[in-house]
Amino acid sequence: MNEVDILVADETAASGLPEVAHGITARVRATVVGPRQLAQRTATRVEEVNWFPTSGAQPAEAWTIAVADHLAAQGPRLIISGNSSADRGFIGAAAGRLHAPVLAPVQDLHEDKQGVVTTRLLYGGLVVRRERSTGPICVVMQGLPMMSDAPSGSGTTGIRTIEAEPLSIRKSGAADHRRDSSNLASSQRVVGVGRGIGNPEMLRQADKLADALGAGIACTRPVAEDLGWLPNDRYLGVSGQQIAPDLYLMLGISGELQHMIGVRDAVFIAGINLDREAPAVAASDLTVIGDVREIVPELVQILADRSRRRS
Amino acid sequence: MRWLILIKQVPDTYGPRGFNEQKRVDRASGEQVLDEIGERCLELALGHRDDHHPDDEVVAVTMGPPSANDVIREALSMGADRAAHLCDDSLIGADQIQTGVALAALLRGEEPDVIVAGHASSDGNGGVVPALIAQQLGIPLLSDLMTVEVGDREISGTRILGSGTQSVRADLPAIVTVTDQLPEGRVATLRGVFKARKKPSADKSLNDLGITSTGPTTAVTTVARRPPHSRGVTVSEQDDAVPKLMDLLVERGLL
Repeated sequence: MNEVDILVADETAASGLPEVAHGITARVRATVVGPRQLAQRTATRVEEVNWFPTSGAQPAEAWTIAVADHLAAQGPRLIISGNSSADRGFIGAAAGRLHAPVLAPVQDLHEDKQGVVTTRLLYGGLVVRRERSTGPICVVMQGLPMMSDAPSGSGTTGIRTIEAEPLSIRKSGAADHRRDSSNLASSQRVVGVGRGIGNPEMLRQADKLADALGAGIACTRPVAEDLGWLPNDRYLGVSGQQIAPDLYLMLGISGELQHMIGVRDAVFIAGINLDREAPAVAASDLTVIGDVREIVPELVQILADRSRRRS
Repeated sequence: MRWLILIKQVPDTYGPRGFNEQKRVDRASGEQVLDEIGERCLELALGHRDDHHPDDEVVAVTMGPPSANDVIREALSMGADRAAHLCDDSLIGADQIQTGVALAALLRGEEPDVIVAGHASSDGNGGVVPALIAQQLGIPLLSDLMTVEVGDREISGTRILGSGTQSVRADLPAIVTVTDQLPEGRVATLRGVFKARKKPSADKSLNDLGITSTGPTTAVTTVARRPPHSRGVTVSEQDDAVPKLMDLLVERGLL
């Protein structure tokens, strides 16, 4: 069985790529762009590591074209990356260099006798498209968690260091940590807030509930764009983020399709809504019909009691 | 400064969808519109030009069937100076590599200072064509910017990473992709619509660009409408609704 290549770029590196690649082949070759620790961590989980060291002043993307040239020289048949900005930069450059088709973003990947079969969601998640490719292809995997939860330690795989000339891209300043530094895409639980919570004061209650659940806070587009109650990067839906937590709990969200597309991969969708006829009710696993202003504090109380009993 | 703005005609997000016999989007079903993110890209360039940079030239670029001329007209009405429309029968159903190579060939001939594209289109949501173009042209790509500033020789902006925001900059020429945190596109005025009629728009074929299409190596095997998320809807409005919700969440291992 031939090798499969994976791309691991600094800062937004997806974990789970070695597992995805090992589902297809026993020999996974990683190209790592970032600090030494990232190369070492990756080395514990793959059979070969080619490492492009980065300097602190330049983001990994400064090496996209160098990496594409390096990959092309190896004659790859399948290159897999995650779906961060940096990942798409690398996979796009590799595809351009190889003149290979690029499939993005892919939900499922496997191989049969005729080629590599990928499954994608298109048109805001309304449509499932399955495609089969032969020859070298580049695949962007959707929905992999960030590398931070990967095991650390140094591997037994040898790391080959490759020095290359970067592009003129520089980064400045440390990352400015935001109101909520949790990454929505990798949160297991998310509380979503809609117009139906009535007023921004209710956000404090929603925050308390999110804290009690260990959840991230998200919202509908109007809550961010029109009302400005939460930053724009918090809204979910067709034009916003699309997430797949274990639990999505909607507060006062009517459940328009444009929003629900952002959470349709959630394992369990629950909601609190005054309107029994709201589209959210049909799109949820469970809806409590009632007033969020009464129910949310009650939930916070129950969760607090529960955590007290445990401690 | 010459701005090349990549725009795309897409099915209206809020409209119905259909598929033709080739399992591609049936462009006859449902309304086709200028992708909203493309309007924001245009606004970035138009705003810069109108804000004390009158020598800036804003060129709208699209690839698509003859009907995509509608979005060219819209861009010109908003204020773009001219446009280029890559339209070729052999690009029907083009995948991202074909799209990237063809657009890169067109863009190369325009000698751009800045190329702006959306972070992803609302229909394909692939978000890799800009990276393909960057590779083809050998220029830096700054992706997913939520703010953008342009200087004489460099372009900079901020973007969200998992843990916070990051500032990045690159020398020009460069390509940037932007998110919908950038301001909305302006609405075309009646005057703008009239002026647009006199603005030049060049139709380009692959032959004009000196390239040939290789044909896709990827075959669509199935396309299906996705079933809605529904795993047993329970509605509760009794007094014990909240404890019931808690019990169910615990039972499912969600708490």
